[in-house]
Amino acid sequence: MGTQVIETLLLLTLSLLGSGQDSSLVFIPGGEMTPFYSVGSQQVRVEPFLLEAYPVTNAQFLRFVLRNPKWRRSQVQRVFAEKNYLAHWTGDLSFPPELADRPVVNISWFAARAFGQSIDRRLPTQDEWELAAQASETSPQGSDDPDFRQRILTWYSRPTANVPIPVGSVFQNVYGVHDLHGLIWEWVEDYNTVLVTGDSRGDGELNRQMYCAAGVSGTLDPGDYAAYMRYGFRSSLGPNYTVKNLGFRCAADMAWKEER
Amino acid sequence: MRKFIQICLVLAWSITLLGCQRSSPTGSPSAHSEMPLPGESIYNLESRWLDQSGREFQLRSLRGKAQVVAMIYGGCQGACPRIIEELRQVEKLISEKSSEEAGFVLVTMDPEVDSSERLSALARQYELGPRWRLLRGSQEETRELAAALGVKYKKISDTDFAHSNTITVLSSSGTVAHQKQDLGGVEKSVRALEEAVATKDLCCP
Repeated sequence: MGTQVIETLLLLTLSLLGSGQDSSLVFIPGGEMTPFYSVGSQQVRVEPFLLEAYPVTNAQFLRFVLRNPKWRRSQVQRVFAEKNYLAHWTGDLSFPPELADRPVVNISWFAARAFGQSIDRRLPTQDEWELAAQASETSPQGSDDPDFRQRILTWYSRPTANVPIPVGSVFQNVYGVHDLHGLIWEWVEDYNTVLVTGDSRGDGELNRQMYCAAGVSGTLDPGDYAAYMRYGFRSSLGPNYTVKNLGFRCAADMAWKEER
Repeated sequence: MRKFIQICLVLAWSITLLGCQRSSPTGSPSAHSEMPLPGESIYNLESRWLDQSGREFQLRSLRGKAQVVAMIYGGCQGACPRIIEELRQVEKLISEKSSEEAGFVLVTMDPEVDSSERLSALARQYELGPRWRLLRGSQEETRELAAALGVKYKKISDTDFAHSNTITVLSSSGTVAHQKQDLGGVEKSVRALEEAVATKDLCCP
């Protein structure tokens, strides 16, 4: 009974402080894009969708685990999250207060997905995330801008801070989405999609083109080394992995607003 | 107060049931399923599936027998027939005693196309016996199970997928006992399955 009172109080405090509210969704117009893994300049069509303006914070995630005890640090099943899950928290329902507006990290793909489902959202697909992340402050095609690329690469080359800085403190792109680069890595729904090892009709090509002999030069755009790193990083993950600079943000289909 | 009494009754009833099962000498499947699943068990996934006869199916109902699991799709001309063939080889090569304690599971990565009827036809085409389950879930649940099994796949055209050829042996409680990413070397899966069946005998007499 005592713990229930404490948990209710915690929820109440969170809502009074306005922290832990769902992040606002930003419209991403969609469009044709050439994914990094593309073979022979094959384009994919990304339908318009909604993407959260900020990565999910520790405060937001606390609200989620309050309501969903099976995702608490002490209760989560190992198949869903390895033992460093929420390792930066001090307990099942506590973390140092200054972390409230920092992006939640040490989070597994399963946990990120469950969070999304709890608020009728989902993880963005890899294509959706990459399309949104091409945008700089001023252009949807920021990835064509050498300066923008260089800034991303500079961030990648810096060692990871032990604690990420608050959300919203890196940059806002032309759509109004914050921190797609420069803060943390982010989970996507189909992280386990490329770098397939087997083949159905010689599609092991995918593999070779990206990672073997030719290295980056086999892929579409040899200048986009940052994308190469992202695809490589994702393909090294398992669904219960937790990494100290890997978090997530949610997305939603266009129908989301009309349903509400 | 009435509610309290009801709860007490339910509790007493469950304790009686538990007691019975503990003392059961045969280790019936129901006793097995009462024990908590290991945290690493894939059967912790709560996804819902349909099998080839259109029946609803939860992964945890596979519990109690070792399983060989692979992901395929019906329209696949390349690797999938070989994956199915390899699982059939495993079924043929394990000892008769072990085969009673083993199951075979194929999960479609193309649930939009592979209806239960199509999976049922596939089972007939390959003459898959009663130990086989062919499962179909939603896109999300399929993605989830693939992730848990370490299977990578991607739709590359209207009819085709690129995918890994992962063959997984699950223990009777749904933990990964053995996994291989390449076709061939069927004896490794056979050995792993025999071991998974033998370990079950050790753990749950």
